[in-house]
Amino acid sequence: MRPYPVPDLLSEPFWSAANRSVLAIQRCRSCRRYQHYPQMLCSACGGTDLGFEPVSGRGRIFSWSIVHEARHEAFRAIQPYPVAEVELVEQAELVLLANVEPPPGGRLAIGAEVEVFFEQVSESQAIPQFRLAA
Amino acid sequence: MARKAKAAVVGIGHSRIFRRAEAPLAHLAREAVLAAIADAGLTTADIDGVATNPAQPFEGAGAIDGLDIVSAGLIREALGLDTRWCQNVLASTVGKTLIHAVNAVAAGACRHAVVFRALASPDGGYGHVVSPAIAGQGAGGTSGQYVGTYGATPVTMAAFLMQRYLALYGPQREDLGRFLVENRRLALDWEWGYWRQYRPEPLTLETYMAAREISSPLRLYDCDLPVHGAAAFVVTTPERARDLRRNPAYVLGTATPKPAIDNGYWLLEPCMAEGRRLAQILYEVAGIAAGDVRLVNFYDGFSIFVPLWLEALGLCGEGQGFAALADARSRIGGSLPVNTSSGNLGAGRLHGLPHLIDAALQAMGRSGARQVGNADVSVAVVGPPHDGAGLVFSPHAS
Repeated sequence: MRPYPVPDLLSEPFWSAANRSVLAIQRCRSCRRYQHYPQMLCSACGGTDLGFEPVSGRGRIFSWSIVHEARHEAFRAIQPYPVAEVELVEQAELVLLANVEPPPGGRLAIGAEVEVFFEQVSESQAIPQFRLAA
Repeated sequence: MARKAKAAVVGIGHSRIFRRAEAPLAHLAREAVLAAIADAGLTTADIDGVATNPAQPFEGAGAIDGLDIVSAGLIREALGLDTRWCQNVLASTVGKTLIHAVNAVAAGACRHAVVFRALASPDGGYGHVVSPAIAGQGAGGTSGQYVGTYGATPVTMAAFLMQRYLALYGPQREDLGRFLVENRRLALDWEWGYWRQYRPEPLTLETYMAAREISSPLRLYDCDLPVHGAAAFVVTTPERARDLRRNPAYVLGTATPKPAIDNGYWLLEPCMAEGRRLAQILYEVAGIAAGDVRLVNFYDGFSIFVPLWLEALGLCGEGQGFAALADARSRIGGSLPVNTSSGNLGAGRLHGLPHLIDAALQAMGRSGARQVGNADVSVAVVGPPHDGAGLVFSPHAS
């Protein structure tokens, strides 16, 4: 069975937005900095007034790797598979991790532009993924 | 110039090691602790401080005291240690635990502290995850809902650092390979090590370059091999150290500025900034400069950490780490030997123990064929660049 995230009090807005095909990132209402993972305090200003805002879904590959030896049983069945750090255009070093497929017969490249889409991983949960921008 | 040391390592002990859990972990921890106490010329009656970081560095590790982990309390009771200071430290590596003990003896909280660390290598495979439900935020940014959901592994995090480093700086991968070939040669002399004991074969550059990828660009020999074993240190004040049988490894300074990334991903530039910050703090606390460093033992759970630490410590230029490691200066006999212990990659996944052991042994003048002449400033850094514990050892207290 394909792994799926278990939403908690902090992450529920992120994962429920994904179920609506929305990429929503936590943002401090005081200093306007985004942060991911979501936290109870703003890591930039220490503020406590945080919410989630939709973002464009556009980003660039910050780094990537092809996993040949998975640790998770379900991923062993499909290895090798790609994983990438995606830097969102909204803020420097604001990064999400996702499975970005390389171009056919090619390799991923740092700086390559990507765009979000959503992959259903269980009956009740979709997750953000990224694909190379057209 | 250097600050006056407030603590010293005066004894070191190591257990047998195995590839898997062929002996109970508590037995190995006990071996290491008793060996360290004897090495210091002390008895259990002299030990009034104990510390360890029991948590195993992989997902799904059990927590049965004595089997999967070994707590400070277990050793304290079993050996009848009359402790004034006894701590299970929540720390990613034993480097941080050793720093805790340095601080404890310096503050007079105890007279002779033993620090031990036991690493487990379970029979069922390392870090294997079965449940499809990926909950929590993981540990150190290497697991949890934002990582495991996508199949990223701890290896992937280090791979991200290397992939971006390769793209930014374009180093020769063969240079890192040459360093690792030499590292294996050293490993075959590391008496407590897996490769020497069980697979005493050299590593060739061809084998290194052609080995299977684990999480690209990291290949098999860029990753350390899990082993089951333990080691221990006895720490005391410089004044007490002078009465004991070994030449002490005085601790000139330590640095452990921050914990692991628990709420985000491993990004190369921020990680390097943290590494450089650790270096700055370590040098300042120890009262030394980069030019004073005589030898280094840098954490190498993944090979990429070694050039990154070399750069973070200001011991080579940015992007020059691979070339510096391939250079003769990085060998024993060179002007700045790197990883005289052969590290995790040479000894097995002992999570910083080899680094600390030889950093101290060198300062004690006990490294034998590995001995660096004039090992006045012996630096060990345990952990990846964003989660380091640095210590400076010296044969001189100031």
